[in-house]
Amino acid sequence: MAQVYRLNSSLSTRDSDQNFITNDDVNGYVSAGTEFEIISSKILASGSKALEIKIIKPGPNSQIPKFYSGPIYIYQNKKTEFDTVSNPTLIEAAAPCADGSCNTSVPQEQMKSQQVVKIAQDLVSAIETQASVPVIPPTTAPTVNIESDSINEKIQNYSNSFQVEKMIKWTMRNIQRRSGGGLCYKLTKNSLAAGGLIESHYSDQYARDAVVTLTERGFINLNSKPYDLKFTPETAPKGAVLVYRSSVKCDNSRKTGRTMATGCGHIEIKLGDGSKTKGFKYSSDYKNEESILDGASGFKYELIGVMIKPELSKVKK
Amino acid sequence: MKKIIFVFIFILATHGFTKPAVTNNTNDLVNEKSILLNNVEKINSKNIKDNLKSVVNNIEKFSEIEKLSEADLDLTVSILKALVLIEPHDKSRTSAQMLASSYGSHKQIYQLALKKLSKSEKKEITEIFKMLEHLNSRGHG
Repeated sequence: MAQVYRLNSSLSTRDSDQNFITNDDVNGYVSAGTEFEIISSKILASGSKALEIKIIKPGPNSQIPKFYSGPIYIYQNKKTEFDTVSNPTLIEAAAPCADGSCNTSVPQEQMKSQQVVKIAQDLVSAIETQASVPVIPPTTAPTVNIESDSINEKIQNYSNSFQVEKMIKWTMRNIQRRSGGGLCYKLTKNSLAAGGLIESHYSDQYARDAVVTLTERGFINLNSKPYDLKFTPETAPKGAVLVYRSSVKCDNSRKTGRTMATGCGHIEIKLGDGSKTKGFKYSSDYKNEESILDGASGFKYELIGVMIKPELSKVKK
Repeated sequence: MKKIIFVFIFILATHGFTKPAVTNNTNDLVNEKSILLNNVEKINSKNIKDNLKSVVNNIEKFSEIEKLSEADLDLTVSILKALVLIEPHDKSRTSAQMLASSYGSHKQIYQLALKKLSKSEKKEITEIFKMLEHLNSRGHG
């Protein structure tokens, strides 16, 4: 039986072992506590390792693509340490010692099972490391408080916050288009930055990646564990950022040629019920009365994130 | 004499046997295109609402055709007309964006097809072409 490891911190997962510098191949992330087996290991030019893994038990908040059946890779550098998980074969081997006849060997096996495995190499490129650092830094990791009252209060606070009001006002003034132009993520970031919900326009490219990158910026996904609130675009709270995965192939940046197998996805902001926004309920690079799921190409999209920032105060009076 | 027979068999083997396979592939492609044309031509402003999914799928199929020639002009015109029809129902313009790569590779055919559209259709498609130009040069946002 293969050794099972446990992550101490979150890591991006990728669908290729070729590129650990940009986020192009990132298809999700695994959080601390995720248990996995290493299927294969490849030493990269930097001396770090690309590990193909089989996820045994995802950690809390992990985002693993639902419809993806290909290999999953993680990056391992010198600082990345994996705990070994108690190996079932060791327990079986220790069973005959129940009578105490081999007590001395048990602690040794247990010690082995508790040792931290260091597989990382010495030379690690700083860029690669930065690109694969835990997607949920400990300082911004969402507090796992799943009491419904508490989360409902956080949602209300977010929806009524000064930042969300400011974002919606800015969006209503500045997003004029009535149909998309392939710039949904760029202009959604502009709206979020205008409301002060993100600090500046960061550089990841595909809308589907926003579940990870917004989490890094203090957002939580209400539709994933531990909240699992199963919002639809229609029921999503005001100001929530809706992130979609798509099965539509899209182009690779600055090149003609649709090389993205998994699709760029889509992102939009819930403006509210439309009563204060001239009937518009959603915005991205265009304003619309209906979400992308209700459009003609809606069947090509799947909602994967309903993101809010939980620690916002109410509107300034 | 043996040499002549050998050469004859060789020619037969290299030309006679390989030709049908190529022809079959070409025939398949021609068939696919004519099925696609047949499907898209049926779409009009009255039945578009009931056929949204099929139109999106047909546009996607068209976008995957690697080589377009002037012989495919009618099909290209039909696809552009379908784009105009689906526009009010596809605000995200996902269907239009599917054509980014195809447009980049076959601009000439698309421009020829544009000329065959009505004035109002031309206006909408010209705007979509601008978006496709942008996507091809800058990528998705």
